Amino acid sequence: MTNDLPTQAANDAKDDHDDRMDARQDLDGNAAAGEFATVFGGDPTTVTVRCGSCGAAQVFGQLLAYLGGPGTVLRCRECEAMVARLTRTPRGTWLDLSGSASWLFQPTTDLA
Amino acid sequence: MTEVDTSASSSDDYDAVSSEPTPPASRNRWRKATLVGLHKQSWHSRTLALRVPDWPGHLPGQHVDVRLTAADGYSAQRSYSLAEAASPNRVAITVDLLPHGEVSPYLVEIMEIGDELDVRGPIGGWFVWEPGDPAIGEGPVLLIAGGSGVVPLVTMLRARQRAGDLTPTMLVYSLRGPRDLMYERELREMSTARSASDAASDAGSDPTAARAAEAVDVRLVYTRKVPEGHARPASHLDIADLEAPPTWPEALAARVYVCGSSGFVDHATALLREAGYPDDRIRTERFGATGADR
Repeated sequence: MTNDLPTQAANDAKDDHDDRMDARQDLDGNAAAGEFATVFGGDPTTVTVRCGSCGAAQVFGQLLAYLGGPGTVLRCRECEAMVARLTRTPRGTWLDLSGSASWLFQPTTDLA
Repeated sequence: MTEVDTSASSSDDYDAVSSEPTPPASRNRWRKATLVGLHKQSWHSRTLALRVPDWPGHLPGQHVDVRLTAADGYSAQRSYSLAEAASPNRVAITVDLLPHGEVSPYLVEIMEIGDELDVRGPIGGWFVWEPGDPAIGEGPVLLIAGGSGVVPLVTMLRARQRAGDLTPTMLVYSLRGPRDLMYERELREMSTARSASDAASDAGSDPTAARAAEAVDVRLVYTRKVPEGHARPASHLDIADLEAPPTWPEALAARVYVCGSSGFVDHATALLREAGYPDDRIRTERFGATGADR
């Protein structure tokens, strides 16, 4: 993968319907793995996550990822409900998993 | 010497809690990286070789997070696939230019030998192909690239070659036109190994037959502009492009890796399903905007 996001100035110069504005919606859980690995202590991409809204199960690497905002947000690829959010603040790192039903860490992952 | 000496490297650690010399901590801390090599890949991309002391090694398909910090403390981080097989104290990334991007113009056009940035990784375990993976068995393996999505797939091919792995493998590489082609010479060498040795193997010599098995089928799918002499007309990736080459023992690959923009990955995944691939054989990695993604 080779990721980049437009500068703020480039964003301002474009109208709201430009494709570039959707750049941050084009990523998947692989791109968010570095952030989540810092709190999970290992690679999260092979973990199976069940959406708390629609019940669909998908590996972390397949979730929709939204980077570049104040936090890293992961959404279900089926229903787009938020399943996980990681936010760094001066007080500390917030991990919100309330949108997910379960996380299956298989024995083959280096987290097990 | 890919073994990590965490005790030596923890002194310059950014993260106070990771002073414990545990593997997860060493994997996830930011490391100072120095640019030691540059190689132009296409008119809008280049490979950056970085010296990273105590790099713990990585698997083909993994990526790193790269962090740039401005003088005023503002920092931006992005993910880039590792572009070389593991070697001691060294990582390489290939970066595609996004015009008006925040990070890629610096990496592709400005950064000079000796300049520093921070890297964190290696990251990922799902979009990985290690030669000898029991889940893949005898293969075959199908690699599908959209634009700069070819980077992690070429790293997989290099690892396969380095290991002498004989898993039947095909790379289908979708790109806009000839000037977008990355790794041109290397891909030609990987694929022409077959035709060169096919001729030689008529003599019945075993070493050349082995060399033929090492070769990779490479299909270039030009979407806008086709170079002279290329048989396939310009059009988007089609189901016929994913058909098994005649040398494969079966019609479907045991594992498929797709890397490209989100739109490309969706398109390729739909074609794979149409071709009869079950979802559990397909592994994908999506990336955001780049200058010329496919």
